[in-house]
Amino acid sequence: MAGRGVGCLSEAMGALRLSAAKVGHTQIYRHQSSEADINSRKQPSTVAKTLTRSMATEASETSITKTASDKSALIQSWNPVSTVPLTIHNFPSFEPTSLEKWSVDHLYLPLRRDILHLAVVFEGDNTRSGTASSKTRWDVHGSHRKIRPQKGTGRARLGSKQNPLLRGGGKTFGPHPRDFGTNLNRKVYDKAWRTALSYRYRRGELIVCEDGMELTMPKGFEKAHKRDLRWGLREAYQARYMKSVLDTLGLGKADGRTLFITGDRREQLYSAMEQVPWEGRALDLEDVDVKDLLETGKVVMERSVLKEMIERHQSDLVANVVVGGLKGSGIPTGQKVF
Amino acid sequence: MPRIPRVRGLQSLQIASASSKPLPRLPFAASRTLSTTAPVCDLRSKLWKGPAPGPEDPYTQRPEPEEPLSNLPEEAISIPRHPISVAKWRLSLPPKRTEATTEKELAANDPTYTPALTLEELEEIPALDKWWDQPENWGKESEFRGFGKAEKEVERTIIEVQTRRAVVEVLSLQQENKLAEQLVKKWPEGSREALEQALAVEIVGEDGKFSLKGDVSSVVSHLTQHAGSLGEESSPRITLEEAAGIQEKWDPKWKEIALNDETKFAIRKRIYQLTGNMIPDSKLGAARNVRDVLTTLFKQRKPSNLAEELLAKPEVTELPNVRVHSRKVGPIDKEIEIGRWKVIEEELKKRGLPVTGTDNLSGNKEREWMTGKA
Repeated sequence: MAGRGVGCLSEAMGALRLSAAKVGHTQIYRHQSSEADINSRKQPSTVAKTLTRSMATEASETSITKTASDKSALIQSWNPVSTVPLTIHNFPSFEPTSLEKWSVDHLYLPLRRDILHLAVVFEGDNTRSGTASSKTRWDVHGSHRKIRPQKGTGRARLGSKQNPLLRGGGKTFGPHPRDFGTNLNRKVYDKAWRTALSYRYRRGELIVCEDGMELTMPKGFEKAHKRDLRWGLREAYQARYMKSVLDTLGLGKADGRTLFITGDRREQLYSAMEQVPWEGRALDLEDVDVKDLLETGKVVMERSVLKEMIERHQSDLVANVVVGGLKGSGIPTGQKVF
Repeated sequence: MPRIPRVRGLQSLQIASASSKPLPRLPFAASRTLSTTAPVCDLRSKLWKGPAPGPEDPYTQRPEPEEPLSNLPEEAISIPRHPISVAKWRLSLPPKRTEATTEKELAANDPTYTPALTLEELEEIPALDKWWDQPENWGKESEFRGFGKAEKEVERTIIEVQTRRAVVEVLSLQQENKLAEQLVKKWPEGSREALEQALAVEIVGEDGKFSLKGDVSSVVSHLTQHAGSLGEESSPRITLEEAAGIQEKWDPKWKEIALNDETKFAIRKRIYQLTGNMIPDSKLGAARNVRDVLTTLFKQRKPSNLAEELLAKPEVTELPNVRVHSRKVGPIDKEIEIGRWKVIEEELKKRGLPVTGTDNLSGNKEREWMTGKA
């Protein structure tokens, strides 16, 4: 996790630097165009360079090996304006079958850790059951008779035996059922969803598969009679097979576990994943939230699930204005290239 | 109906019958010695129409153990119940539960039988939930095979050669106007010959204009002919030296070939199939030419420990007053360095003291008192 944290940070720093450079560039350009100076062509880059901040924690250019810097430079040089490509795979073979274009507003949002944090906290708050309940002195069962005379015993004055100071008495400021739920603006939460998906996409950890994602078991297992796979043989087989699938595809525990998201329960996939919870989990769309998207090493989902997720979470992109009895449908989700 | 999964299964059945040398179970009467007044041979000849099976006198003589020892009918053992096509995918299941022969019966049947007296002498049979962990029960029928190569290729040279092959194949399909239809299909991994043919094709051109020189049609036919029968052959392996030799001949300009969405998709797919390296969409989107694709493919191996990482840095290793050790430097290492450890070791041995550790004695109690542990 620490590695990922550092990765996030450096990515965010990279984005900051890039945007700072851009701002510098545009500002100066505007300034000079107003001056209408002919020699302004060369100037922007040099001035923009002076504007970039040098971080104290930043590694010097020489220490980064050539390939790494090449790779990050390549990715940073790419600023898609309208769409990003998304490959659809077959499951479980992971054979690429088609290509789609998705809007940058859906799958290429910049990383906003603050928004993600708000969303995860919001979800956590609303998941708390808040059922802890303790008894006050007025709730504790028993008589409220005075347990000893007020005076003359030489001991402390005491009223009823429900006194919080006594054993078996009530709890003074104990927990009582309450709602821990907090609120988050719909548009912020929706943006967090798409930010989480974008983060996964950018890191290459989002794998989208064709609809009807289901684990195909070996023929021998499918054909075997129910009574031949009793006494835990079925479960042991599923566990071993699922592990081999995950290891082959680079989705297992060694690669940080995997979350499979489908439209509904898929018997083979779900029951196999239930045997190996340490290798990952399988959830249907209704059970997934932002935290789940961020937890595991990789996220594998159906195309229709991604589409549904985006459609449910784009309130900040769709104007809530009705024109001619029709509401705007927003940016189309996924256009097929081939 | 008795089920006979495999001959293997039968072997384990014998194991399950809890005897190192399994014996056929005899009828109860057979283990008794009966004194009969009537001659046994006459009685037997009357009972059986033909020659009577078994030994001459079954009441006093022991039958010789028959060879395929199993309580299954003979024809079931000799003839495989399933044709080869079924045996290909059939799982090897555990045999049916049988009752173990009692000690008395065993002793009666086998004069050499001696019961186990210690735990080690007993045969160990793993539990059923470990059934699939035994290598003989988990065969090819249960193996998963994905689209990509199972073992990821990490060697740069080999990755580059396979990328070259993918590029040549994609460009040849494009040249023959077959790329669009082949894009969504699974291409055969190809034989050694197909690989060599693809690598033999030259890429010539300059300033973004490239064309293929060589036997393009055969490369295309290799990709399209087997499209029906898939997944049978495995891709040929190239050694590192071979790859380096092939790579030398190329004009480095081939890496400048510009790629569009279609070719990028096809190359990514082919590279994943041949090397097991999947390029993420976001990185492939950033790639404009083959050089960029290669940049995204090359991964740096992470140093396994801090020492390895530091040793790779010349600015650390070149410092005169800094030395990098592979592990923590302990008191013994310090003694070894100044050459005193040999002497210490000798002296300790002479006095019969442990060289390292405390040799069954409790450690330094006073230190525990001082640090507040005890």
